Amino acid sequence: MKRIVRSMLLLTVALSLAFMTTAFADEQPGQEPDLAADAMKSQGNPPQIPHAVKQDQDGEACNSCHREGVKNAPPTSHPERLNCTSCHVQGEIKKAKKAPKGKKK
Amino acid sequence: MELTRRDFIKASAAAAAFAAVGVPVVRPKEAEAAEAGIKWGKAPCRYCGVGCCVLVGVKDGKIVATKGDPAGPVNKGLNCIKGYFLSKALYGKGRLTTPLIRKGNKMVEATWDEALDLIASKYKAAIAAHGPDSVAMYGSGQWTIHEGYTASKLMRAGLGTNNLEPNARLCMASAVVAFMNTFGSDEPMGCYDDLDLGDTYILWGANMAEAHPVLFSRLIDNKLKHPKVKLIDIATRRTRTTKMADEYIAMRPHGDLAAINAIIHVILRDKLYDEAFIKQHVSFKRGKENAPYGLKDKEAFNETPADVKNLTFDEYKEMMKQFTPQWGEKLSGIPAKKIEELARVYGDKSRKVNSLWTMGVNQHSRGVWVNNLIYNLHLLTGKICKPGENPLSLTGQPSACGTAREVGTFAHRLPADMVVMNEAHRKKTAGIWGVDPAKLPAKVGLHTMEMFRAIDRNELKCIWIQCTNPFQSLPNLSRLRKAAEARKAFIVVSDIYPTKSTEVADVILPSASWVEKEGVYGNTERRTQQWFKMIEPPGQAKPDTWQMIEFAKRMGVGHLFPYSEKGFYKEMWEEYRKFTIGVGKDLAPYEAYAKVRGMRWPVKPDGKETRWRYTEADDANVKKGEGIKFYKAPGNKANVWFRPYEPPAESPDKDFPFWLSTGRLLEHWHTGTMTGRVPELRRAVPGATIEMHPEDAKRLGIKNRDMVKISSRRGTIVLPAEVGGRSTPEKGSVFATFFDETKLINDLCIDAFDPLSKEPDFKKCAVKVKKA
Repeated sequence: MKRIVRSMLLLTVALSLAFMTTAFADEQPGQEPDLAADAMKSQGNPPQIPHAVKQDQDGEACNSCHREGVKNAPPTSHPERLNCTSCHVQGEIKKAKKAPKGKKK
Repeated sequence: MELTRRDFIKASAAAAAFAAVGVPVVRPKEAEAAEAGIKWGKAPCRYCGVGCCVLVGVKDGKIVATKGDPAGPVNKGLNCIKGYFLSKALYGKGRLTTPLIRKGNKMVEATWDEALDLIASKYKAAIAAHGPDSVAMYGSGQWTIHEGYTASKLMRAGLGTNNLEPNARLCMASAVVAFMNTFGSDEPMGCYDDLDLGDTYILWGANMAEAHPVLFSRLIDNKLKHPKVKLIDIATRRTRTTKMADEYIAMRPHGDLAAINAIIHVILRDKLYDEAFIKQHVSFKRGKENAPYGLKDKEAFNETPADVKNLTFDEYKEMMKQFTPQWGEKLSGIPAKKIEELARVYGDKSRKVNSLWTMGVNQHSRGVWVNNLIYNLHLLTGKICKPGENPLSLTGQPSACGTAREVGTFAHRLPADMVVMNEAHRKKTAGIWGVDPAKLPAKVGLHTMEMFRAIDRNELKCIWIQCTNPFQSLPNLSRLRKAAEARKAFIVVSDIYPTKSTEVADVILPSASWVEKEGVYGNTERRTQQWFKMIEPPGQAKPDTWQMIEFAKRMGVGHLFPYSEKGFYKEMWEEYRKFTIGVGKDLAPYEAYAKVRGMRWPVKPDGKETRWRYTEADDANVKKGEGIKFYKAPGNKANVWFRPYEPPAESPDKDFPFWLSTGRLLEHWHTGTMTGRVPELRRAVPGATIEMHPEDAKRLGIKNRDMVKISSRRGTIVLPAEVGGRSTPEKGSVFATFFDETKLINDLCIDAFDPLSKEPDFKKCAVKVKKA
């Protein structure tokens, strides 16, 4: 119940912020921030990439699997964000896949 | 001016456009349970100048989580990959936890008293024998505002020398000089909101996708929502930024100096300028030309008021006639047709044009001039001080603006745009500091390049380095490292990990970092962000302010820091704040910053921030009816400077046929002291490479990952080749990153610098390349 009230409240705040037409849609000085509540709103940190990525790959290439979730790829909640590797770091590569071009010595 | 105000209100409503990952999050129960017992605090990110807002979760005295702050107006919940692993920057292997003193080739553990007594005795001896200008301090754009303020007071009022420099000399000095000589006040008129509100973005040699990723996401967000938005990437290298741009324009290194002059030529020729704006707001100036490159020690160059000539608009137009698009093409490699096109983009009255740049323009042997030329584009077309149309120089360090520039930790600067050469400024400073004005030295101190060369010349006896790694990041590095290794000066280094600089130190001091202490940073868009101490520093590590003040006591100048232990940060802040009030740089009372995710100065009398400076729509210093007013500039007019083309310090030739440019990449930050210790980042990019164009590589028989020997007139290095990787330099040029402490690319870099800003050019020198 408490959670519902809180999310309602958050929604109200979010909406009123979104439609504010005053000069300062951002925070107003004077309010005490509720940092724990803000932390709850955060999605948490993005997962790492467990497979090889071509260094020159762009977001459309990632979306070709991750938009719908083909080939067991987890579907993304945000296909509109195309600079994927700015948040998702190259993680440990589980299955050794050959690098797309060139040989390692 | 009613229109401006209406525009402004519309803009404000639209500004909420950029929001992190969109949909509200439904959180699984486990996630909530895992967060029970965590105490959350707020802080700006430790890394770059973007200043993303971060939430820091602490449990049992340890950081257990960091998150992009959904309430943070800079990043609205997003971070880049460096920011997501932020706590690991503090918890890496090898933190320095105890003071160390050199005994021969060994560093031996010592107490704080032993270390500080030794430092004080060395500084006292040097000052007694050679005067106060024989000692120095070299700080950082990663210093907090309190740290920079302490250093400035200590060196100038305490020791009597202006030998105080920040590493920001290597990244932002050109931007500072151009802000000062164009607008009479440092730092931008616009802010990040312009990234949401404009429709045309011209990038001058900036790889935002990797160096300013969260701002780039904001830009791309705007682009996806508004089909009119156009992104033009003018660069010497195809990057991840290029991939997302509407247009890539290849430019020769140093070509910006010619290309922008040619664009201005077309704007004037075709009358694409805003005559009314020019009449009201602009003066025309010609400065000193045929400038040197700083390659000789003690080479002096200055542009004094006597060197500056006033021009009429007609005279200026006449002088610009020589810079035709064809001339521009010859020097910049940008086709004349493209130059004409760019002029029409800048001049298009239906487009809100923004110019964005960073190290490509600033680390440039004519960096101030290129900054000036970009401002010319905006001043001539009147596209400035309006929501969604501004020039913006992007900063590289978290408090290069807040500390190095606003507090003034340069050899010539005092707080709030004041300078040591000006008697009235010294008097005001002395008044606030409670010292005799005669005690404040008027002589400009050694700028960074001369400071380290002075060690080699046996002229500088003691230097204390805090929060930065010059013995990896300076150009023509081997000369400076050799001097340090020869123990030509007494070197103190305060840091959190061993670095290439602690390697040459006589005393190493362990520092507290980020949320291990309280602090304030100021980011690129004038946003001042405060945080509280959240965890204890490891071992005996101490904040840099504590280190400096304990040293000050031993130097007999402890009275300069009369703050109470409990009210330390607030009391020092309120003293510093006096400098900013009433001069258009106003900061708020300390408590105000604890409650918000930063505020952009000048903070108004009613406590609200300012998003756009110099406009009546938002800046309280401009009265109703005045419209736009450059109130910090003489006569309230900004300067359009005539700045001709002069060649680079070194260009490729028969013996050294390639250009070498150096820079950063997404995974690592600066010299890698922190990111190099984050396993996830290190795994993603373990070491430096040399990027080459596939055709150049093929011609030289070099394949991807082959080892390649790169030599300049100053040094040689072997790196694996990267061909067809994430970025590709234009033919005839190669690119390397400088984060890898095992591969000191800066040995090869030329120590040429801009004659006005003294900022070195890390982007251009001549090298030869062959298979190793």
